[in-house]
Amino acid sequence: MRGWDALLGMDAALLPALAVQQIWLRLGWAVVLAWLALNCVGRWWPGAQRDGRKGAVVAVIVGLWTCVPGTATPAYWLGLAFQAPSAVTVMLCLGLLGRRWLAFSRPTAQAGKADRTSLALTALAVVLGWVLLLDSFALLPVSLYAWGFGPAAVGSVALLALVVLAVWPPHGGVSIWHAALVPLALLLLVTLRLPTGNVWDAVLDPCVWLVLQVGLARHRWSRYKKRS
Amino acid sequence: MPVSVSALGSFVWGTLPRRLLLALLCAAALLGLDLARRPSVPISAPQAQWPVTGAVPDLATLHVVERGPIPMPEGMAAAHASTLLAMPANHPAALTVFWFSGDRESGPNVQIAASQYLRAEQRWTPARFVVNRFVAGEQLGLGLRRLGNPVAWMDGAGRINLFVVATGAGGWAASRVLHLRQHSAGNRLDELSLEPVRVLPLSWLWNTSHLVRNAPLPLVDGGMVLPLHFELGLKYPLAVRLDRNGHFLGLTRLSQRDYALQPTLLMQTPTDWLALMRDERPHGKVVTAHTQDGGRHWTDLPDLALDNPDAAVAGLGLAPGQMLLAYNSSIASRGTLDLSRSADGRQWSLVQTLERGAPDDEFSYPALLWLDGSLWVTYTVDRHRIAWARLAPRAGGSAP
Repeated sequence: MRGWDALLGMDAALLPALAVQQIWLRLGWAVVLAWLALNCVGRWWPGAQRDGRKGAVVAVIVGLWTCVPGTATPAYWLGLAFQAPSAVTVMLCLGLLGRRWLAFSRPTAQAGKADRTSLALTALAVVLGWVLLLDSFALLPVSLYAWGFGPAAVGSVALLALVVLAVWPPHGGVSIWHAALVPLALLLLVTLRLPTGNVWDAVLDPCVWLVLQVGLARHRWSRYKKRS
Repeated sequence: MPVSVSALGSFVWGTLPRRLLLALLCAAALLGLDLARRPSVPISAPQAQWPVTGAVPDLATLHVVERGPIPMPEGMAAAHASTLLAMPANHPAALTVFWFSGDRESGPNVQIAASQYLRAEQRWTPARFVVNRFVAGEQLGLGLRRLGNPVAWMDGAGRINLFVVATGAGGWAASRVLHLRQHSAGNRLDELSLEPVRVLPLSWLWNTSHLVRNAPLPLVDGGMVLPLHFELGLKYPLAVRLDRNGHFLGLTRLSQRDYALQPTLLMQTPTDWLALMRDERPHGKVVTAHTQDGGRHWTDLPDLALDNPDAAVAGLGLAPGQMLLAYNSSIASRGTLDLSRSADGRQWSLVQTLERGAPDDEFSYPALLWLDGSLWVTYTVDRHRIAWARLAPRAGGSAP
């Protein structure tokens, strides 16, 4: 009985220490901003497409600037508006940074193409985001966010993510990384409680949810155009 | 002979049953790790603690014995949203009041001010700022745009905890709840210093639009239940439970209604509690919800007969069948502030009108505290200052 209480109890939240959250806020936004900087450099700086060093230097500068303590860091202001990014967002940006770097250093390397597993996971994340948005406005009969502090939520999300992987195994480096994002985010949650101790904050944040919706819409649109 | 990556992959992934088994084992490992990190001691069921032990006073005989303004921080024109905290019996101060003050409400220089009522001198100390948004933001590591309502609580270790509305990128609808805890060794006002514990995680949507207003309900285990509300577009109440060390344990929604805010919790028994709430609708009434299991599940009840001009209410369950409520009783104004009592939480009878002004006057955001046989009340006057009153039962008056 005590075991079930521990598993299903709604009074068992465990949050991260403030110091750990502060490190995550800076490191997380550093990775996200470094990826954005690298992307901007690749797109708008003439010659940077061929010379990966320019992009790398800018990304490293932006990343280091974000990590500095005090108020002169973008993390201080991004935290004011958006709090900390989710673990999935940070690892997704880390993967994209690696892919982008690969494209710089080996211009012949092909950017990974989204396969069915990635698309399925994206669609799942978009649906989950809508459910969490409705929950934020108390438009669902149960409080999903409150449930996300409990161990049952961690176990359920882990099981769902891993069963999806087992049934539709990914192929290729990009997909494997995408598919591993949720399990890795859960590992970070159970070990360090990052970013907030809530499973939903670990696997999805509203920023990446918005980006995923745009990505999914663009994919559907290009498929529609190809067919027509 | 080196094993190729693809061979390793096919060994690990193998057939569907093998993959499913692997997925199950990995999920079980994550769950096991999660359970191992959580406290092994089971969390007790929430039981509220009565604020009055011993003889029950006759609330019908409560009358004002002292009243006046609370000293304001020098040069500050605005004050709002006071909260009261009882200090330990051996402390030089009987109680501490916290409120927000600055040039104007939601102004950039708003800080959390405090004053203490000294037992020996029977007077309030000069006010002092105890929370500054720039200092707290730097300690926290992220920006705080504006400060608002504070709510105070003494944890099981005797440390003052303060929960303060702190906005993100936007106005009050972008509010979060900042949890601060006493950092100084002592808690006399001249030595009191508070440090951020964290921003309470309350919502997936950038953790935005949650505010505190009313006092927490103390629990027998030394923890408490802190009432809050959400107010982006629609309004709904919720509550957070903290243990005796101030650790966040979980949150619960109090009502399915989307127009109820600023809940105040009144105990009827250790596990039967009422939540009385402000109603944002025009011509609203005091909104009510009820729990019978210590706040784990809540049921909406019909509104009270009391009018509510979209204004905060403050309630207190003192002893079985002894409840008090301070509220603005006019439908269209905050110009009248009444104190009523009830035995069942449904029928309320007036004890005393605390303030009666013109319709444009404002006597709002009351806070109640029962201490040493007296009821202490503080409230906002015209958003410019905080007033206080002490009410005591007439001699010889005790409830049947």
